[in-house]
Amino acid sequence: MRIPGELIALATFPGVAIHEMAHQLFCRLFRVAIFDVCYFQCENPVGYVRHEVPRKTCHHAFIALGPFLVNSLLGAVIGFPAALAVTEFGDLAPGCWLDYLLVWLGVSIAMHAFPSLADAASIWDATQASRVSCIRRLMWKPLASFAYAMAFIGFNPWFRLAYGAALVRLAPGLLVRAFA
Amino acid sequence: MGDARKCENCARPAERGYQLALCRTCRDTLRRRPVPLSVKAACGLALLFLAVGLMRFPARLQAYLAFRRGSQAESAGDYPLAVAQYRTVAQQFPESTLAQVSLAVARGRQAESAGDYPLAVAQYRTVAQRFPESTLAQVRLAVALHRVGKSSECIEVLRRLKGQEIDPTLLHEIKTLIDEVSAPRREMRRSIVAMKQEVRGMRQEMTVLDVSLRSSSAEIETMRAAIRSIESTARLGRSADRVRYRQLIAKYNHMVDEHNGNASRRKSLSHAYSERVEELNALIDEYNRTAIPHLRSGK
Repeated sequence: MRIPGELIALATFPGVAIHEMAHQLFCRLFRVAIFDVCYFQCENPVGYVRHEVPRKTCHHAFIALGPFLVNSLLGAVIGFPAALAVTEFGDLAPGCWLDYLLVWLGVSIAMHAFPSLADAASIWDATQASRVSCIRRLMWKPLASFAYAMAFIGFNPWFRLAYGAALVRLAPGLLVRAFA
Repeated sequence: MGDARKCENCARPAERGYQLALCRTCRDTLRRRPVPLSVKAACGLALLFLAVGLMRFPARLQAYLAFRRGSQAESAGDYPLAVAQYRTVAQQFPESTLAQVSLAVARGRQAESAGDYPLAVAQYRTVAQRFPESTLAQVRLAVALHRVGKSSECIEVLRRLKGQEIDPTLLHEIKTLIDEVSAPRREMRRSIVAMKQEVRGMRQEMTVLDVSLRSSSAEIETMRAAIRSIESTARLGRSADRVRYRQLIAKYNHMVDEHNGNASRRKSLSHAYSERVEELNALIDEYNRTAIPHLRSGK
């Protein structure tokens, strides 16, 4: 059975909005003018941020890959207090709907951490710009390739879901084991 | 800061270093694009949920750590400590199968270690009824039932486990239990084989006797005819061979006695045969009734 990407995005819309907000946040931090933002829509692309070309390549990289850090971190943090209860004890008591809600929120946000192909392409294009020196180009190419690799992995919604679930499921257990 | 280019929005001097010619004010205005109120409200709601989740977190963490300590204590055989730790978890997660089953199993194990198997059975039975999907509770119940000598009930519980996926860590214990429960069945099987042989021997003996009875019956009939012939000759006044007559009578009486003896033996043998077959059938029924299913691992 094939589930359309739009349907998956609809079921996990908070992640899309956070992804776009992360782009917006890094644009704001690096003084990049934003022309248009769509936090969620039921068509492809499900969300976007249109901004000017940043001044530096590293700004470009942060804006394109920022959502990967922000969504991963936020997904783990939001899912953290509830994941132990849900994954370890599967508590189905009447008051535990909040746990399930937080887990859904955490997984939704974490699974939209992956950069889109457009994000990866924007880093690649930035490294190709004429003002970038050959040495810097060589420095940034691996990151652009990494972004492409992440984008291709994230293209499959089931991989994204697996990443989100793994992050929310494993992070609390690992942290508790490390510090307990 | 400014270069020769003019801001495309307001015609003031544009900032340097950017492809797009925008002045500092216009760029700041554009980069600080406001987030819509609906998105802010949704984020606020999510933060509220997160705050509530974080407030509940210390108790959850405490329960999780108590569960780990309980598991460690249980593995080390310190059941009182395990019960105390699992009680904390069960209070925090009253509907959790894992928490409730762990507590009941630890209580049962504590009773088992104290030699109080009936109490252990009661503990396991309660939790197995409340959480029938818990294979751990079912396995512990089966073990405790076997210890108190309720083997048929133990087998019933093992039957209920058929088709369910068993935790590999429980498989060894189940195998040992099945071996112990199967010991009387192995004995029963040996008895069935021996009884079948005995019944088969009795049937053969009855067949031999039947053949012998049919043959002696025919012989008796022939002799009776010969005796009647001599007697009718004598009644007609003709001379009869008295010596032969006496010999025939003696042989006839001997054969009839022998025939009656065989018939009586056949009758008692037939009775014993019926009783033995009934016993054998009852034993086979019992053997089939106590059949232990093959259980499979969850991995």
